[in-house]
Amino acid sequence: MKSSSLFDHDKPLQPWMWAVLVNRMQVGYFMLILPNVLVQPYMVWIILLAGCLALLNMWVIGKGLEVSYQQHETEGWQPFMGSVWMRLLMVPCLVIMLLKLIIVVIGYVSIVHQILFPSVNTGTFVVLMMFAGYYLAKHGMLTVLRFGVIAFLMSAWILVLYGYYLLPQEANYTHLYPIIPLQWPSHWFESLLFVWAALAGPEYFVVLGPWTGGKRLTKYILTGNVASLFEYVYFFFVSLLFFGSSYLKSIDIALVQLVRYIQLPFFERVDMIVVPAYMAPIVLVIALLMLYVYGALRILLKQIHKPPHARGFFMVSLAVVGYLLIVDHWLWTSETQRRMWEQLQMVVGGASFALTPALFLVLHAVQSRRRKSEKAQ
Amino acid sequence: MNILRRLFPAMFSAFHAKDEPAHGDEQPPTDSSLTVEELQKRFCHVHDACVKDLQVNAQTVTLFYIRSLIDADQLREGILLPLVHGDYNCASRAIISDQVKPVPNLEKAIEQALQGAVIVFGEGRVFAVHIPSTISRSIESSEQEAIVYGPKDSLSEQLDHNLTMIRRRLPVPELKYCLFTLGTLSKTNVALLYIEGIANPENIRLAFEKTSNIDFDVFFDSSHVSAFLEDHMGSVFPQFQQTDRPDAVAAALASGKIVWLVANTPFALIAPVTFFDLFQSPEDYIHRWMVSSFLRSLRFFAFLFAIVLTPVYVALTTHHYYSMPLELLYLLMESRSEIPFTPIWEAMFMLLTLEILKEASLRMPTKSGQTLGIVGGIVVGQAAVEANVASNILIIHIAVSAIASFLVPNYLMTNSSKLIQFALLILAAWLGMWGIIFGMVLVLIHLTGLTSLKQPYFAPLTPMYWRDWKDTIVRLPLKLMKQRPEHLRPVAKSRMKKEIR
Amino acid sequence: MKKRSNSLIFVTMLLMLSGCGSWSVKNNIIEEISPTILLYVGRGADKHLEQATLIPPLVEEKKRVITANVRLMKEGRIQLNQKYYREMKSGQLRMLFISKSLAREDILPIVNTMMIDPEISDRLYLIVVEGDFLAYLNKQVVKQQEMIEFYLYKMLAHYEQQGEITVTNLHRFMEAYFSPYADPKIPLFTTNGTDLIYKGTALFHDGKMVGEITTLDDPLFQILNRPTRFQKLLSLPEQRVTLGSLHTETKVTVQPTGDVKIYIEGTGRVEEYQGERDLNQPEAAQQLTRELEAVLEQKAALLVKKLQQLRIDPLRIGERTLGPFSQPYTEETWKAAWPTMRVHVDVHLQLESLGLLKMKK
Repeated sequence: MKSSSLFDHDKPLQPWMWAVLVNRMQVGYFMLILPNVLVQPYMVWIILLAGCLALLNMWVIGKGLEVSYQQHETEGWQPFMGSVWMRLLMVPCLVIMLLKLIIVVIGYVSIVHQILFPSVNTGTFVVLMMFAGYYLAKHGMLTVLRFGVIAFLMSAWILVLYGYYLLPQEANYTHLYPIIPLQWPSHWFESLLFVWAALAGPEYFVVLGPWTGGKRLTKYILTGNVASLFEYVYFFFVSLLFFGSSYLKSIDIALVQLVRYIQLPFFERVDMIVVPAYMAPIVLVIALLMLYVYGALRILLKQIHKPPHARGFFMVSLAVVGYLLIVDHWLWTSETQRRMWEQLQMVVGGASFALTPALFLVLHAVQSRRRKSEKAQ
Repeated sequence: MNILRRLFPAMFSAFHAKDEPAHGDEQPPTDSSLTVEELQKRFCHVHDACVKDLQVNAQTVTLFYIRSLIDADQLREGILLPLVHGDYNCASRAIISDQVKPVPNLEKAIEQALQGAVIVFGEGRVFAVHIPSTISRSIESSEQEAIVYGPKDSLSEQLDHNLTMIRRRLPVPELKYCLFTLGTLSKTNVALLYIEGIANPENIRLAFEKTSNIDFDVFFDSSHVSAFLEDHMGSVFPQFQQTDRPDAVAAALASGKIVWLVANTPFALIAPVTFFDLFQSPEDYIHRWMVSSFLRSLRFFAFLFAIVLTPVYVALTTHHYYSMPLELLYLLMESRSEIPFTPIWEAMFMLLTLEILKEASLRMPTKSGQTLGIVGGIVVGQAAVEANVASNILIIHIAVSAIASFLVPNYLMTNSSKLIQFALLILAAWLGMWGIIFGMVLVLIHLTGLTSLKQPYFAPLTPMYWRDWKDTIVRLPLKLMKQRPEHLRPVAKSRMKKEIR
Repeated sequence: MKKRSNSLIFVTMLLMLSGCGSWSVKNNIIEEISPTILLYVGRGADKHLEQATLIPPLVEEKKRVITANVRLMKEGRIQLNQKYYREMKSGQLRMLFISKSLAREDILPIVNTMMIDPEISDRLYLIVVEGDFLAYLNKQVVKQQEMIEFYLYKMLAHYEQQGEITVTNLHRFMEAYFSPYADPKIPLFTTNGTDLIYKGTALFHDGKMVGEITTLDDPLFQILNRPTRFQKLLSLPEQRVTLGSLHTETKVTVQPTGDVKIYIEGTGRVEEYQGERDLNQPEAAQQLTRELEAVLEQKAALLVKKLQQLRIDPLRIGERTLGPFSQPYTEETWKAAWPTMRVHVDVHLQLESLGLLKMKK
């Protein structure tokens, strides 16, 4: 890896790739645990409501990408990179990103540990996943973004597999009734917040303007969100058809249990293929977040004007791995702790999804006004 | 207009024949150390270095040449006879050859003599007449990429012959050819070919730059040259396509790729190449498109099959006994009940044995190679099963995956797949199916980051070029392939225009 | 040099943090394990659980039955493991035979243990067995039916597809258990020590067996259980007729008045008739058809009545009350209303062939 190639953006990404990236960012760990939270048939409206709100947010992200590209072209952000405010802003950004890493990596690893290899320490999988993420990240941001296609192809086919549960023998369509609630559902806000936080992830793209090539990407980003929404509704229906509401409440990871029930002529219990297949989008998210963490640390430590360094990135990655291992070893050992992290991510992730794009646009407006006033003087 | 000539005039002036003075008339001043005696001194203990003195019109003309490097017939017909019996008063005019060049200094004289030139000393001037020996094998069919229907000729070790075969297929003036001499000892001629107006100028510039910067002593094969041209030396995947088929070379040039022809080797190098290009065969364009699509899809499937079949066997028998149908589990338990080795060691032994047999059959003399193949394959395999060293199901897996690996037309890719298979085998033994998929993810990451002449290796998948999928896994009718592959960024995108530009 | 040594120290710390013993994996090499296919659980001496299985599974060797008398299911697994030289694994456990006496108590703790074990698949077949199942297994072993567990599994897998008998797996049992409008059912087999015979369907409520439907009524139960069904043979010995290739469509509607209407439409043929009527005569054929319809209506009504008396709903009639926008009954109100609902059964038969050969006399 050349030192300068980590953040190279000489070749823009194709527009429809952003749809794929948005979709894969949103469909991750939370997909696996979502049916445990949403158990009543009428909760599909909560998913749709959260999805529609997310669409509005996606429009803002699309605008943010255009602004980000313009800023890059005019080098508008350069004077602010070393400022105290920018550096202070990096602190909460780092906290949010590291929290997301915990949820995504350790959440996935704990599922692998529980389902496939109970005898293997979760730390082993953490190290392996982070190695794969580092290996992808060291090729640079452009390669990471391009890997989105492969992450999509490796995980999207699972939708077809779950089609088995739409067939009459296994599906009980009365489990979907009543689809309109007869009374106002309790805990609806918590469920809405959970789905909102599950759809979080694309707000990280708001600073990737240089990789857009100046194209308008709003419709592609919206398409990606619609695809994610479709997946969430699909998986929700499939798990409801198979289990029913009451049973679904008691199942831990419904989607994995579903896939263990599938019986192919040459394979049974394909969870040993499906659970690893989800590795690809997780590795994509890890690589992206590691590059972001490295970038944020460079701003924080006032190294932004120097070119990116391979060894520096390696040391940062090692530090992140160490941090994850510490959390895994001491702070994610019981069911209670897991739920605590999920609740925390629900609040923090949901807030960042809601606020980041808007904040980005506000900062741009403030910065433009300041430049105008400076020019006028 | 020649864009490159404008951008790199110095580079072009070094390699373009037009810029050199012709026929010895306008000769630069000769170095005073350039004498026959100096040449003899430098070539002492070289038994076939010959010096011949001739009397031409009361003047002595001395010829110096290396007998084994020149064509004796041309020497007699083109130089000796005209000089001795000719009526010219100037030796250079008497000689019948279009390859007469002045020699400015001793080093140049030595270089030219070693390239099969006769150094002529006469009338106070020194010039070289190129009459290299044309010893070569005849045009044969390709052994590596044999096809049933289609042209049967293949490239040979002679650069000129190869150029002829390619020019016959692409008789256009836009087919440019630039000559490099690589290797301080081997002085290997390497020709860089491209079609101006189709090949991307950036690719051409990069090819020139990389070729010019090569610094090594000997190049005996195109693989040696590719080792210096490739972007990633740590990768198991070949970043150049090597072919000895002139039709494949011409097709590559026509789509916008760059080709290197290396003297003394029949294999041409083609770049930029993608992972998917290495699964294509010239025969794909001869069969009906539906048949070709099926065969190509089969190749991809076979490649995947070859690298994962044995690791999946190891993963299932080591970790995932629960995912096998009961009937299959029963078969496996019966077959494995008396095997003393664990699945991973059993698989390792048998895979290594297979590799040993394959390598041995390559090195064996032709007459005994076939027998060894039968003995090794059938007898050893059968004996291994009967001695309970290996299970019969594993033997079947290994045999099928070995055969499947040969469906890939590119031999280098086949060999690369073996290493991947071994790596996946170890991961399968350690972490079962999760380990295999983890290994595949690492391979896919590697492929995504790989480049060939700085172009993405995994195109048209990453980055995705939708139009190029017409000729990747499936092969749609030629009529529908109206445009050149987008991932090569050709200057002239359309194939359907009458002119190239 | 210092930076390199720092990196090495860091990497070592990472490796230690990830756990020294974590790099080795407990594997399941198939020749070193014994994947059990069949498990029997009954009530043994001292109110303990009696567990039994056949070993070695899936290989053609001399088999034997090993048993353990324990208080907990997993304790039984440990004890059984200690009686055999290969480690027993549950990943391929396909059948769980539960004794009838245990089923009458409560099988939920046992089923729950199976559910939470990540190795055991949800496709585990549950079977209630009446009689001395261990004697049956021992007899099979003596008869050198080495693959008995494999054949039993194939039988259940076959009938799961064909639908001739009740076949329940762990998922279907739990799904019915959790459903507010359904109750679980499990196939009931009986053994006299020599043969294992399908007796009917064991009916459950809240994990306890509360009743059974025997072979005579079981085909009708299967017809009522599915909206569409193909029954190969339906014997009515009292009417001396066997119907065959019977396609049935069952529609169950719950009226707003609280009445349950069951309409069964059947198309089939007479495969065997040993009665007195001359079925060549249209009137006789019609009479037979009407008689069969009446008999089937009566039997079906009695069957449903029995279910109501047991206060269980294995036919999932409660689910038919639900609509996309309506839920007239909650779980509690349905359980209260179901036993007293009026049930009307209407059967309409069409006999395509009366099973007669044209014989020249």
